[in-house]
Amino acid sequence: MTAHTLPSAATPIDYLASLTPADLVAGPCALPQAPMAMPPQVIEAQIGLMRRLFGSLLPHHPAAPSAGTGL
Amino acid sequence: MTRTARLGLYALRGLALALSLIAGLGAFVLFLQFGDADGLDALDILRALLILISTLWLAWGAVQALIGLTSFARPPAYDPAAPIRGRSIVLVPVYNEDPLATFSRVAAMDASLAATGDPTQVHFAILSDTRNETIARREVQMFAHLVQDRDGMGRFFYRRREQNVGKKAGNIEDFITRSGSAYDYAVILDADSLMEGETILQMIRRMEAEPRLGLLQTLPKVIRARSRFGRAMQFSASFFSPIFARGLAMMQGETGPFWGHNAIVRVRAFAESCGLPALKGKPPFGGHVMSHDYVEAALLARAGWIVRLDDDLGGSFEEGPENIVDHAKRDRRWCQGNLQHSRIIGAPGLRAWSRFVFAQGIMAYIAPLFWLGFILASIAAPLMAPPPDYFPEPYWPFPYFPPSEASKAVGLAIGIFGLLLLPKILIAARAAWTGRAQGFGGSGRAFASTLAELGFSSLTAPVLLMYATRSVFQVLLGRDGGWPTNNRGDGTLSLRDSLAASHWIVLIGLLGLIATYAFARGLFLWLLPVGGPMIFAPVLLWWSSRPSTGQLMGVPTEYSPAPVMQLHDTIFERWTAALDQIEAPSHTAPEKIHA
Repeated sequence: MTAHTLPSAATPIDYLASLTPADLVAGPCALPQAPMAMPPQVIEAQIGLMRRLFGSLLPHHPAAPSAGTGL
Repeated sequence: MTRTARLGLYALRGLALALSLIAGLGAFVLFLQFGDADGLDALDILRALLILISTLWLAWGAVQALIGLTSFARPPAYDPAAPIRGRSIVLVPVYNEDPLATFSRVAAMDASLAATGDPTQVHFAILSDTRNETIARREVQMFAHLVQDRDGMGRFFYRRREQNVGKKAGNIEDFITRSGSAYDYAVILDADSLMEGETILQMIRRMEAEPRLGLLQTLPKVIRARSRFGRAMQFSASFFSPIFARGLAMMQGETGPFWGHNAIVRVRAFAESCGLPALKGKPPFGGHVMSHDYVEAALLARAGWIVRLDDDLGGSFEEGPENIVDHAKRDRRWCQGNLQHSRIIGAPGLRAWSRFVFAQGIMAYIAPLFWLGFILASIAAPLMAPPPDYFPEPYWPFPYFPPSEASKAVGLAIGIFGLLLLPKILIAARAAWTGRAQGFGGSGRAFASTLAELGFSSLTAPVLLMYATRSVFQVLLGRDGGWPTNNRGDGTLSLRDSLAASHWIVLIGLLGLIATYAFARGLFLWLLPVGGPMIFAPVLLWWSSRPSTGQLMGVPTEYSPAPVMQLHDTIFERWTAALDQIEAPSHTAPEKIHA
């Protein structure tokens, strides 16, 4: 985290008074730089509900056997 | 949670569901008996099914209140005076809000924290998503004023995003990815939220006392309502909602709610669990998650964190819409957000209760469609019914009059009204018994206010039902409602505005009553309480937005404003006076704010 520090000679009130509001929000009152990862979550099923329902009702045929390597 | 507690929780949920099912099935059977008088047809069965779903939904709400009536809100086990070790920040997302009102609330909360005498330092960050450049410039000026007024250098922060990607959820996420490591806890507010400093500190202590707690939600009370509609909502939120919330808190266990504001999160838990990607496809069902709060609560629970509603905590406030149009606008956004949850309800790994909560949220918006379907089917039923056969037996000289089943229809109507009215009447009775009614002007006035609220909500319900129905159809037809700014002003509507907002409701009400009179005259009186308010919707909108001057529907914060409200009033007045002085010569002065 990077903290904003006041110039040593200035009191907070003097320092504040010397800043325009724009300076203030760009400088000492900008958000601290202290990143934290926020990885996106899985919030949707990969397959829709209806497709899953119908998928479970339909008969599943076993996959065709592999042609093999020797053919 | 211990095994016994878990079993108790499942038993309670099972009981609530069973009672609701009994009520729904009872209505279904009664209606079938009523319809059977002249022979059952497909329309009778359809109507019975519609009444089953509608009654089940009503009963679920009533059962929640009945469960809430059986207990009182109690604090969890923790030390309310323990020293606070974690670093905390209060996040105030803003979007084209009035900076004076919003920033003076921040100042009031900071002053309230200072008044506790607690050494804990709590920071504040104003997270602006404002698109209006004039308001944005004013925000920066007001922020400087806030920092100076509260001596807040190093404690107050301001940031405005270039693009408001992800709306409010994106705004919070931007804060966490930029500054999340600097804090352990973040209190998330809305621009109109107000919290006592002591409440904020107790929320932090409760987070520290339970390391598995990911999110703690408070029960905000509506304050500062001025209009008839606003005060009715305020009374309802203050008098009835705590009981419904108690019932909810008892049934949800560790899978509690997040209502998007007036809550505290553990930053690490939130960051790890609540990153929200955009949903596949375009709005209204795809794109950014609109009602992100429910989803975040579900994701925290999925990751094993406790999400809890602490309804015993007071000192948590918000403001509400002052008129039906603003309420409908907000509801349109919530409707789209809740219907969008149909895409999330099947997300892998969610707790069963989280899925149930999503289903409830969806049902809250589609329930009016079932009532509407029932009414339309009832108007159409006489057209489809066979003519009565008074001589069913050949060669029998005397006519046969089929037995009337009207008593069953009356019984059904009484049962449905009972589900609507009984919980509120019981809440008023318990308030009188426990002394809680004293805060609402005494038992007599609280009871009269309850009756007035019941009358008021009966009048406005058909109009709100029409707005909700329109919202659902708009979403289903693929119309994105966007993200309109909340109107937090005075909220008074003119008759012209009211008519413009509700002329289509008048038309539907008129056509509905004419059709009823023409095709199902026996239903006319039954449907008059629905069609009447629809025909008078413009007057209702206008009248309910007018300032409320009556004694009824008083709430504790009106009789005795909370300390933080008093602080806010003082600061707001002082700032208004100071800004009037500053802004007079500000056309020539540099853009600085000096005391």
